[in-house]
Amino acid sequence: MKKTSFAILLALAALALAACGTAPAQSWSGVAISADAATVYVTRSTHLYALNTRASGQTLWQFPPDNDNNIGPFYADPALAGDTLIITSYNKSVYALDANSGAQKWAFAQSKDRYIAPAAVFGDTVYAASADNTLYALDLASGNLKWTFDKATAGLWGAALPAEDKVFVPSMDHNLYAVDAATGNQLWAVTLNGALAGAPALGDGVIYVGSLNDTLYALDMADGSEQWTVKADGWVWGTPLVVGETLYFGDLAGNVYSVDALSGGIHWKSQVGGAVRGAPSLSGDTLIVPVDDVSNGIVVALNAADGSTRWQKIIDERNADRMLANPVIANDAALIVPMNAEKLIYALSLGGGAELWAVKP
Amino acid sequence: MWNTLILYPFTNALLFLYTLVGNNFTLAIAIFTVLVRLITVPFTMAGQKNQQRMSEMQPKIKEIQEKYKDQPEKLNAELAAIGFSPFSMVGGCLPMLLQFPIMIGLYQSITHAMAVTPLSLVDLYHAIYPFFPNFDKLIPVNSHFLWLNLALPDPFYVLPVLVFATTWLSQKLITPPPQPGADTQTTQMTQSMGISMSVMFGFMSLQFASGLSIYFIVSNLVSMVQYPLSNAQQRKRLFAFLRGEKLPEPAPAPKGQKALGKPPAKPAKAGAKK
Repeated sequence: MKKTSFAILLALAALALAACGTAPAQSWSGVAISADAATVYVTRSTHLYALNTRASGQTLWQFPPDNDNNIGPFYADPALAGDTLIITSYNKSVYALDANSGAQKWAFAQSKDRYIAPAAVFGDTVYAASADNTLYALDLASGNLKWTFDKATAGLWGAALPAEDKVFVPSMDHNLYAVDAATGNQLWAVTLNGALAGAPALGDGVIYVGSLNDTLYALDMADGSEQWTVKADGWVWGTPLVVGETLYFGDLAGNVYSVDALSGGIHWKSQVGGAVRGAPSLSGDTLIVPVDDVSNGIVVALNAADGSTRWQKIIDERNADRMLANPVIANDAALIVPMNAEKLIYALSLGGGAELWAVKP
Repeated sequence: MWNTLILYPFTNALLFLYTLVGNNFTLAIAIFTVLVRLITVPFTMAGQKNQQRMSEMQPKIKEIQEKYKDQPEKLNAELAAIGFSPFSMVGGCLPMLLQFPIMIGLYQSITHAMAVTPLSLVDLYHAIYPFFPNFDKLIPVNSHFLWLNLALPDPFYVLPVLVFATTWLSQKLITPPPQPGADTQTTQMTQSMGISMSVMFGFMSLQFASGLSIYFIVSNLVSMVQYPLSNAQQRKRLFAFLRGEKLPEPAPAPKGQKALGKPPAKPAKAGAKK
């Protein structure tokens, strides 16, 4: 009897652990498109998939090729540099792959924490920003460490932005750092009043970066001095989209903004009915916006000229529950990656949002 | 419903305490645990009284069961006459049942508030009340304390050991002393459950965020103080324990009662003064 009760207790404990145990880390997928828009690279937890956009998303290869769960999980957007694909992982490693075959070229595993941020590539250098507060500069060909920048006091969640002879490093410690691209020495730092979770965007001598204090900042590339700010209604997380002299960005309060890149004046502001975490994509004069209403994956197409809604679509209503990844444009389709959807990726017609094809992982 | 009633209020309360105590998340968890325990005092007191009553009734119940084992209707009537009902047994479990949703809610709110992944940070944005003062400045929440990252299990296993020890100790102290003539098997099962619970919570601490271990430890310490404060008999047990005296063990079963499993335990020793 005593043994039986003990066994029942152990079984209950096991059940409790199974129900509440440390679940695998979850996040939204990363997406990248090749320069000719023929291949889209999508991460989903344990794997990265290369898909042919001209053959209804036919799988070209996957990494790792088998079911090795020790390499991932992968959540960040892959970075493409010529025929090399750089992908960062929650297992504290950076991987360089052959973009055509998926074969591993090298791996770098010196980080002490996860990589939440995508890598950035400029010239022959890979910049990998880690949640261990450090930016690692690696040789693109070999993966050898060139230098590190470790002055941040909180994790680096947004990708670094290399430009000219500097690298701009957003940090969750509320600072944007400018680092010498050759040495990793700090050039300047500017403290903004909120954590910087997304990557900055580059303008004409100006850096645009969103902050979790509901503000978009325009900063001078040379010294970080503030040019102008736009006060949003919620956190600004996604990388602003710079198109000529116009900026497009969203906030978690569900607004999309079109802003004059020179003055910060707001052209229009449109409420889309759910948080906008990702960066919008532009095709012609249609702005594709991922909208997260916490129970559905929604895509909204806005008229880039005035912010009016052209169409909107709920994807895989039965399964998809979040829409946080960045959309990409390939040919005449918007490629959308909702979380927890039955399919890995959905290609929607830019004209009206009709589903052109979708691929199961 | 769960988010509105449990998760969001817990998360906001935790983060508000975090701001009050100088951005120390460990201290915030500890204070929050004490507050939650204070709120649940009426439930735990009711459960404790019921447990005590059941313990005192045990010999009488055994006697009635033995006497009317072949007369079920009479048996039930006699049990009802002394105030026993199966529902009152369930009532004794209420404090423990109440702890589970609170524990799960607290665990979720700890991981929620620390927001160590991008997804949890997006969720945190939705969880925070609009009137929360200067919330933007709190991000990222400092989840480090001494050698601990409160979002991850303790790498040196100090907290799991403390969780095991405090759970075992609190179970030992808050369990009512066995009554003379109490069912040996029941007493042994109670003891076995105390050890099993300690092992279970210690094991959970190996897997879970160390912030939850802080909750377990503080919660156990609160129990060790709360129960003796409200019950003279258990106050005596606590003082006896602090003096290094042995706590009373199960009294022998009355003549004719067959102890299942192991032989009857030894009589209570003089260490337990009345």
